[in-house]
Amino acid sequence: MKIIKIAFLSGMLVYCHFFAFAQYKTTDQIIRELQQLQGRHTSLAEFRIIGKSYGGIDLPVILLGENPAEVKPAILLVAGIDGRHISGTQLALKIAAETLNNPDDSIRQALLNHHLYIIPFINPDALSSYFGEMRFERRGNARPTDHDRDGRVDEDPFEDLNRDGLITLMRIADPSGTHIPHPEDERILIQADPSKGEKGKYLVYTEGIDNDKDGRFNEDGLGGVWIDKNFSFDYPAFSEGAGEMAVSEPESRALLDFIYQHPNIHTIITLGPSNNLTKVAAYDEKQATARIMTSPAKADVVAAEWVSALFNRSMATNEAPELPLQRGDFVQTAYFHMGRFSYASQGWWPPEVNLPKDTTQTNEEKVKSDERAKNELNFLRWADREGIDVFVPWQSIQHPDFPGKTVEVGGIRPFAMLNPPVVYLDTVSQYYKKFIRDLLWASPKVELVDATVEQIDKQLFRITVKVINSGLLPTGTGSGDKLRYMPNLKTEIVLTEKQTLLSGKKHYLRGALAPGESVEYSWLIQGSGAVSLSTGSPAAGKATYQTQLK
Amino acid sequence: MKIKRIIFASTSWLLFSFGIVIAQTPTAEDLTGLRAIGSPANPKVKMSWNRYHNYQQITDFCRQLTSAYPGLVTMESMGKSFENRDLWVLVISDKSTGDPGKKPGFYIDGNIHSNELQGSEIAMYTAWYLAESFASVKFIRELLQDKTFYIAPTVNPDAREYFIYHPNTPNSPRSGMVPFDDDGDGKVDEDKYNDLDGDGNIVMMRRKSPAGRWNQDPDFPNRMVPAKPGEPGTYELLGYEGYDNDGDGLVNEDGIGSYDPNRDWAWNWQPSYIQYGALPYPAYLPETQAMKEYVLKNKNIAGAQLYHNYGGMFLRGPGVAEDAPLYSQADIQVYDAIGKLGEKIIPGYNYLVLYKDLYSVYGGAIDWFSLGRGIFTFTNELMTSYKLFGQSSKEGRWQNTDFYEFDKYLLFGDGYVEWKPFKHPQFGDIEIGGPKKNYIRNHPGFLLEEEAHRNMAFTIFHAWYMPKLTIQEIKQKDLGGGLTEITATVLNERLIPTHSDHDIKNKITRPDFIRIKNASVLAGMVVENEDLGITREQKFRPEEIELANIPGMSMVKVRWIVKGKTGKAAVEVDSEKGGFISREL
Repeated sequence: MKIIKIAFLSGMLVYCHFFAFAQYKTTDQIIRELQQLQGRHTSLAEFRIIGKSYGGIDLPVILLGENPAEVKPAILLVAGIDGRHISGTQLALKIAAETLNNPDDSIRQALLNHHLYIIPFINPDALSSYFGEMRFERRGNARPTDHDRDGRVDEDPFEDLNRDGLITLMRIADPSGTHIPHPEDERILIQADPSKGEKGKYLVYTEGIDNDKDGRFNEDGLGGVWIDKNFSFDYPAFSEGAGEMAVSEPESRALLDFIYQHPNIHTIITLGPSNNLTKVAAYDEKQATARIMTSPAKADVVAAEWVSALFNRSMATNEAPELPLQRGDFVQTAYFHMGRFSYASQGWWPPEVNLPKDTTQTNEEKVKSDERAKNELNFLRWADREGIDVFVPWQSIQHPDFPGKTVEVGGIRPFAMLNPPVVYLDTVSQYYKKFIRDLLWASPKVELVDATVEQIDKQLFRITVKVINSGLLPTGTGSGDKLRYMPNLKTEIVLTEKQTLLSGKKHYLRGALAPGESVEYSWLIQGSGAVSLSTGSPAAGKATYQTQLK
Repeated sequence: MKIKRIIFASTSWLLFSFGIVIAQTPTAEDLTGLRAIGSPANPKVKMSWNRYHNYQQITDFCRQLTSAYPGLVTMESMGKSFENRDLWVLVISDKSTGDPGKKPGFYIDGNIHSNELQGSEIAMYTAWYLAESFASVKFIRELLQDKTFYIAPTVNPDAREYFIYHPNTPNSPRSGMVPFDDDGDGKVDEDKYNDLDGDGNIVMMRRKSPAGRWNQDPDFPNRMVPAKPGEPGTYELLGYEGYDNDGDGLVNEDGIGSYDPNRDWAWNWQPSYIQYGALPYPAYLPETQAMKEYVLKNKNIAGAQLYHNYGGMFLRGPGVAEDAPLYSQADIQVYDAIGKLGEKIIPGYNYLVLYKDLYSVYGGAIDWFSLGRGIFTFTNELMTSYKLFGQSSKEGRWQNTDFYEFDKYLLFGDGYVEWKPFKHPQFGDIEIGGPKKNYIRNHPGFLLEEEAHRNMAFTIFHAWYMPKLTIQEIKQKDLGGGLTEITATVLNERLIPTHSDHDIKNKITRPDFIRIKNASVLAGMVVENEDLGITREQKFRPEEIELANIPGMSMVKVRWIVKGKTGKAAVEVDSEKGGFISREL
């Protein structure tokens, strides 16, 4: 009888989760869809493979815009670096598809003079785990790794003890326990706090057995290198998932190569479990001007504040969870080591759900709500409200490592917190398109203004011109100005054989121009005839001016 | 057919081994008074060590040594350079005494900076000496029984060729041949040096000027000395030979490379604005990729020396001050012992700490080897002015006249291009002259062989100090009831531990395993103090005891409780960096 009930229940669960998540696409499907999109819009899109994952899966990019192969100021949207975040990949694909399929989409106008590059995933090996028979939140690629560095590879993986196809948590009732149920939602476990007079009730581990009997659970299973921990900025050597060394993986190399080869990318937006868009950290002079810069330059903080305001306005909310940037991540490497504006957002997040007010409660009785596990708490409230099944109820099992003890398996379903049912991404993609559209319009744009030609003598002329950034974003970052191999803003004069330059340089190079900032150049020329001036950089566009000396 | 092939293969193997046996018997020629002590008498591979070699000659040398000593030498490629040249490695070990991959390995490379030629010759000399001396020098024979050498003569072959066959200064190019836009103007390598007079050398440009602040040294015409404050000078210096090719007002500002392959390594890597010479991201270059994969693959590499020039130094890491705490006292003691020995072996060379005594380097190979992989590593900066007259000048590098005197009295003027007039399109009437590219940094020929031998000796002692593990004793004690207690004592006879302290802390190299085979193990433990009976039991896989380290010059003991017969049992010591040994009970 009991067995039947469990079978029935798990059948239901499988059905529910199939229903709820069925629309997330596999990496194969995504590549096919991008190719089809490109096929239908050959003049507006170019599809490329920029590398292969360790596991041999192609890494795609789609370049959107008029004449996509041309060098124009561009924004790069990257998703699927953190393997747990498949919703970002889905969102990126949606943005690409909607942009191409809808000629009236407001983003289309912006793509006449700018480009949008979209990399929907860079860590496909990990994302594929979402579609595996045993679903667990995998962060690393397919490289066999020795996570606990004991000389044995993948010797203590997860086990699906309750056979529901999901790896969740297990809790063991034990007097030496460290965790207690959350006072506001019993499903969630939090660490007992002795300063609050709390005494632990449960030991908590991820679901599995201690295969190598070392007292640790699942410390070395299929894991690979966590791509979003493998980048060069503040690389956390020898920490779990970081790999043997910075930028050791084909995925991280492919992404940095693509960016390095595209100096026209001025801004990179990363969809993943981090957030520097809703709130901008204040300018830190000490860190920003230290030998090793660890905080953005002043002008870049100003730019970020404006972009953040734009983002919050587009999202119609600023309540996104705070998710700090991590050591060795892509987002910081893109700014500090690749010299581009780099913004990160979670993509989708559950809105804050406020419990209905208890009217019987007096003011004295109102206690401050428990802030611990705030994100989980809000997530479960939201899921309950929406009627989405995201929790595997705690369920007793027999565990070989804990004979005679009560062991229960349960917890939030893997992937659930970061990846809602696909339908929830529909509105979000509209928000992001609006944000990206506005950001494309805001791209840096150099112009040559106030050009004057003074005739000093019959064959002697002085040309003066101002280069101005009429965009709303700087022409480059403070970090980019410092990096070698980043193209400068170059203002050049081209003379004919009949002309001699008496003063001024054939070309001037300089770093970033802030929005509205200008710089004046002048040349003293002997001779006559046509003269042409040009200014620009890959990220700020190009402007030219022609005149006759006569 | 298959069988035939196997038979053929094994016979040829026998022939090869036989060949070695013959070689081990000193020939009559060795015993005559013709042989100079310290040098192989009648080497199978004839070499002159007073010259430099191009890539083809290096490749030929590797091939010849391999075919002359198949029982000792294997040649393999780490991978391809940017211009598709193989990065050759000679693997040298006595193959008849065990798998070379399971002996402590010593890695040598040279010429990562392409203008620093002689690292290649010293690496080649080392390989040559080891192979040619195996039969006649007992110390070398024993060394190759215990250890494996991985010798890469050049890890920057592309720019080595460019240095040799194109006009260059002693300092150019330091990098490889991957083109970059050095000045951020959107063009690549558009303003290189120009060999104005077509003599194959890039030397200095000087011009007479009323505002000049330099004078010619009356004793040594190639030497320019600063004018005294308040006194007029004769010349202004205009840099190395070249034009402003692209008319941007700068001369020679975007030439070959100008990155630094030795700032491309993924330990504390920092970008170009912090570390000059860094590339877009660590291990960007195909050469770095290949080298790093090779070292990661050959996990037995426990020691390394990377040959550079100039200055007469053995440098240990770290490259930067913030990594100094990663060197424990015990690790430093190992470096100190080897470094001090080096000072003895090579007069005029000093043992120094890179960040403290020279300069800061982020992303250098030395840190990747030592801190990234836990390999005891030195960078050898070859050549020093001490070599010129057997003493260090009391004056600084730019004040003393050693190189000019050496040129005059020992090279008879071969070191410098004499000043000659030239009409420069931008500078007008100038003169060009100065040191030839192979002077100053690279050894003059007659000093090269001695330097090669002395450096090799230092390298060999460093390699000799790598762990040598022996199973000292296996004790059996009958516990009654069919149980036996087996205690194995393993000794590391050398200075270098199987794991540096930094390695232990970060678990870079897997633990050493001491296992017992063919016995029914009930329990296993590490004996922490045999006299006082203190042990630490290992419950998981007791037959394979894990040890974080086998320290230098010390013993470890492990113990098993086994049931039943122990007659066929054997103990194996399996250490990634310490080698593999086994012994039957």
